[in-house]
Amino acid sequence: MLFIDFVSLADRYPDMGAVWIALAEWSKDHSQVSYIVPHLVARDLAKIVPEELNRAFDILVEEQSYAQVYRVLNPSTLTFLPGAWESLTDVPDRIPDRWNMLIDTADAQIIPVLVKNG
Amino acid sequence: MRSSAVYAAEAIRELAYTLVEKQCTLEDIQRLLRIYKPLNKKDVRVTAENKHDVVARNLRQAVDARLVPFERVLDLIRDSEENGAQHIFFYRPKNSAVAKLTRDGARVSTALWGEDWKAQKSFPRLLDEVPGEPDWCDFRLNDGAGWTAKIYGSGTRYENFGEEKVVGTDPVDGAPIYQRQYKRVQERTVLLVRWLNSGILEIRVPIWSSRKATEKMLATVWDSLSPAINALDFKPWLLTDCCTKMMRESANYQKVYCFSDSILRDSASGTATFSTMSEEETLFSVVERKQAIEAMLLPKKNCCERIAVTFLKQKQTDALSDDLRVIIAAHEQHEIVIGAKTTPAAVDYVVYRLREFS
Repeated sequence: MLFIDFVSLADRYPDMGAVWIALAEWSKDHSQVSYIVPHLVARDLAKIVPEELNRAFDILVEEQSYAQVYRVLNPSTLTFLPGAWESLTDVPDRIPDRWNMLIDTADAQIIPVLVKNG
Repeated sequence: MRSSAVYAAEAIRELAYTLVEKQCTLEDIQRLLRIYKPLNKKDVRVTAENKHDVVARNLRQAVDARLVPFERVLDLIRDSEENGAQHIFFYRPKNSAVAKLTRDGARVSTALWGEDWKAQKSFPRLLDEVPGEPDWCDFRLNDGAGWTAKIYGSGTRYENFGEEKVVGTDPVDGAPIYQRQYKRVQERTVLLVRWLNSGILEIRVPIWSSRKATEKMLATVWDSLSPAINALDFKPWLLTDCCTKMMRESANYQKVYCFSDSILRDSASGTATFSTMSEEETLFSVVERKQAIEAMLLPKKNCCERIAVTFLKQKQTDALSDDLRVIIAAHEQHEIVIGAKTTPAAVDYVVYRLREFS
């Protein structure tokens, strides 16, 4: 559950109504999700202009207690390796995967993720 | 005049306090002090400004006043370095004769160090620095449950040092040649052997930066044990059936464990890997994923090859005070990996569960 007040956001940013509706529907369809992976959401909401979606994500960070962190995708499974970092430069050179095998992060994709603070 | 034995005993105590401050958590030290506080509320102090004061003042004063036995300080050190952040390899004796010989802790210790080993070895031997060669440092009987023996060894880690630098150019094509610097760090390793009278031999080695290093440490333990225990007399305790059973029966154990990853094998030896997006999630939290796993495990020949399981905190007992993530049948089928530092009770709890599902 994302716990985002889309009604309030739509009131305050009426020019972005279509984005909030699309995000609210996405959130409803993905009720198990507790964080936002922007590039996966963007893929699902291909009809939304990327710039508008990015602006919506910026607003979530500014107003809805979301924080942007960086996580590393395991190149084999496309799931997250353990750990999250505030800055790209903080990401270690090697990270153990879920089976404790070390993955070279130079070979992996590092992506931004929005997580709820606290 | 003070004898050399007194000086030696004092040196051991000093080293023990240094190790406690270095490797035990503040929480663990204070938990020990809290146990003895009711016996003498005035002289056993728990809180202090910082960890150094808790050790150098509170703990030291309590031990000096004989309110806390020094043996409990040694237990703190043991607990901090023997449990978790480890690969644990499990073996079973091939027959009852081997089990009987292994169960006899006195025979094992005598075979390793001779009749007079207690006087000669003065275990536990504390060590802060990195030893040159692996050497035994502890042996103890575990209240009728078996015995534990420990080796201090050394391991090498390589850490990046500084930035990559251009150190020249290729004379043939003029391309720049880069050099990267590494720092070699030698660290003390703790290798542990534990025999459980239920018929299980555990070998624990620390998580290291390469599989080769893990295997070398495992070989070191078997080699060191060889005067008393022959590796050929033991067979690996395979955990694949345990993984399969845990997965098949998970609905009945929702308050005991949950999964984040699994590898399932079908009847033609193909595999399917199921993983949550992040390790904080659980495999069965999404209906379609749960159904796919259940469908895959329906044929009896199919099995669960490897799982990453989180044993859930048990509020009713002291067995598991925090959630504990464990990889079962990790690289080898008789191996588990516990990534986090934990307590002896927590490791015992994991072994208890493994036995329950085997």
